Amino acid sequence: MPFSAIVGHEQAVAVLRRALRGDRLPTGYLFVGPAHVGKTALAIALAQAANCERVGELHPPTPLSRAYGLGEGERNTSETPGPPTQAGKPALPAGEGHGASPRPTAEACGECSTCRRIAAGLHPDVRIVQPRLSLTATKKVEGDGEEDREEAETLAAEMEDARITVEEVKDLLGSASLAAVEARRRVYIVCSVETMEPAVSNRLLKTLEEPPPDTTFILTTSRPARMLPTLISRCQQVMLHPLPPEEMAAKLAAAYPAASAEQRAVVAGLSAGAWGRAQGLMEEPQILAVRKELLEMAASLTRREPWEALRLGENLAAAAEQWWRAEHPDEIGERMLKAGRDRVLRTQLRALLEVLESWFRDLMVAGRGRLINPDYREEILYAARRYPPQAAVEACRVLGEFRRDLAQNVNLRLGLEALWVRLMGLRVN
Amino acid sequence: MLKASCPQGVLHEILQTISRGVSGRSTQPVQNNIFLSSADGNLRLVATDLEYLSLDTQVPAMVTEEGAVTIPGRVFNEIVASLAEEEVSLESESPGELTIRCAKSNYHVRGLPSDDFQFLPAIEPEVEFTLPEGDLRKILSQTIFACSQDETRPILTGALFCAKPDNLIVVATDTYRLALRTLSLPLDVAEEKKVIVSARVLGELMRILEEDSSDPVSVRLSRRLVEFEVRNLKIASRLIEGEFPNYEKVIPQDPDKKLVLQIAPLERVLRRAFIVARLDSNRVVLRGEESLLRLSAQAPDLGSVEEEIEMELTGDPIEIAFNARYLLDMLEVAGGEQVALHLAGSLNPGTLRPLGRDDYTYVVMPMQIIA
Repeated sequence: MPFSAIVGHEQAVAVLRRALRGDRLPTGYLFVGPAHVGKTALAIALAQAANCERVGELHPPTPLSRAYGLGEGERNTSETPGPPTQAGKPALPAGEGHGASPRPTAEACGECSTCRRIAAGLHPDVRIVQPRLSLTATKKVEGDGEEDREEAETLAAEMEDARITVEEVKDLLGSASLAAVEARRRVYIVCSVETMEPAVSNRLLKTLEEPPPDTTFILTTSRPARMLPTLISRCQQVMLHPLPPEEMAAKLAAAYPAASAEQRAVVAGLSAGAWGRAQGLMEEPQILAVRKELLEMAASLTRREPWEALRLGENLAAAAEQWWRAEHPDEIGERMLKAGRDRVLRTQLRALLEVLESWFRDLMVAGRGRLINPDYREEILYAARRYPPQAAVEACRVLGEFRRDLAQNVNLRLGLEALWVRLMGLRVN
Repeated sequence: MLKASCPQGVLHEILQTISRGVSGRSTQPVQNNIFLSSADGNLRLVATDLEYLSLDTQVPAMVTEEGAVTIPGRVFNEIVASLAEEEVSLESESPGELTIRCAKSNYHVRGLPSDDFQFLPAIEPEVEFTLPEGDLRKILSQTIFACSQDETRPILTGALFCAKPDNLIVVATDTYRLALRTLSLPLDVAEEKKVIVSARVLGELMRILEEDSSDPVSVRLSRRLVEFEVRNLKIASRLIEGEFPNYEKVIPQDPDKKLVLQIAPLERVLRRAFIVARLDSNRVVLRGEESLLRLSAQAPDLGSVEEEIEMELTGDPIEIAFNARYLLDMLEVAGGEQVALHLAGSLNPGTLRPLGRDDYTYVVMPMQIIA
């Protein structure tokens, strides 16, 4: 995917393009931004731009071009992140692959063999590591064939307890210590880097401190606070911000002209500015149906009796299951659900809680500001009378607490029931 | 679509070798397969993990239709190994599938289309030379055991190959010991070329090379790759990048004591001492004067051992401790009857050389003497 196909992130793209044009890619990048905002897509785009075969054709190298050679001891290893020092060395002798490196320019074609293999994860010098479930857990969902396992592991990246394992990092670093096969610049992408154990982080840190030549590590995270500060300090940070609502609406209109305006408005609100999520919602209308169900549930809170919490709890669990099925309509999603229903629901409930949070957030601003769920305007105004801003704030806190409880192994059924009881308890007459 | 046949014995033998190039844990499923194609009337087999190892060979076969396919390496090896000793026919009817027939057996194996299979790029050698197979095997056996296993320092997990116009030097070290082997022979190289080759590929190469053969092995080096070619088999690997430690500085220049020992008795003595020593970090203490060397080892929970062996000592009495394993590693491959151990102080490294030869040097760090 060329940079031009990246939705939003103009500022980040400009920063990366400048680094590419000046031949100043650092050893470590840290892409920080919320989930599904486009961190990995941008990392892949950068890897392609740095290695595209057509770069020379599209942008002939200038006399200024030179190979990017960093000498031992000339690297910037101080505490402050910053561009590595330049060592204006003469071009290295040509090797296999591309021969004399043309100067990397700022755009990839997206069509040449290199670009395609990078996008497909098949390029030997560009690797992507994503969190996975521990092997025993993966085994449960493992099918007979290799392919099943692969896919199940891709799903695993989204599970809350998925981790980047020490084996994978070792493998990656082993590969990084070898000479490049063909790339001008090797790019190693480590997704959700905060899921690494500290010991694994330290292995990575060691390599970032003494990096192999012509190599860029791109780490991505949505929770930089959970990372080792030493690791952060070795990377140049690139912030990826959610798209503002107007921009999201415009991009959605451009990408999905056939969809109804209402659907686009709902998706724009629900996606919280993350393009990846917006895409998912547009392409999986089932999820919008689940959202509708959830909002109905929330709206009905004004008239529920406490004993109904039992049923609402069950409904919420069912909705989570439905959402999971909508996002993973294949056999592997089904198998994961069968093998670890509790675990799947815990992960999936996070998305549901966000919808409920958006409801109570709307109650806070009812009649005063822009709504996340504009299609429920009437219901929100009505419910806001039973949930004044203070109660709505409290409700968001309750939801946040439940989210924490989920991670700490609360009994799912009891937790869900208690959640509804507590939300009802916040009503005023 | 590929259609070929070949005797079971031939195919089995080559698969034993080739299937070792299949990593089995590649993130790209197709790289866990063996690539099989027709090539100039031969059958070509390739396996590579795209990192440490690429094995590429051809076997004579009856090719009746050109084509290519990839099939799971381990399964293919297992199937062929278990077939009757008759002609094996390989037929690929559709992309990514292979039918294997032999006698009354009939396997139908699902693989992956050959187009997806990736190879290491063809090497564009900057330096190329040949040396006899047996010699290369000897050199490797005398050095690569000293390569480090510690992946946090990748450079030391490989051996340095230094090709000069009139000799080849191979060096391996894990910082506790260093093995250096020189082979004097005119290499057709214009200037010195240094590369670091992973111990993994060298280990595989050693398995393939035959001790008593003098067939030529071609060695090709480029900036990124190394390739060895022996008897129709190409074995290649990506080089390890980085600066190898300055090994010349490690070799003690002026040891003032010299012990000459018989290799076989020393090995026996060390092995016996090792039974105790292995419980205390393999520590064996060497004390000696005039013509008697005493070796001792002790383990807190087990007890102790003392051994005596004859030697010729030049210089003052000695007292030093070594890791017995490290000494044995070298003695096992040293060759010859006698070995010379050069020492300075008890905290200075020792140097082992087969007596009267200066083409093999082994430096080993001492351990602290406890009690």
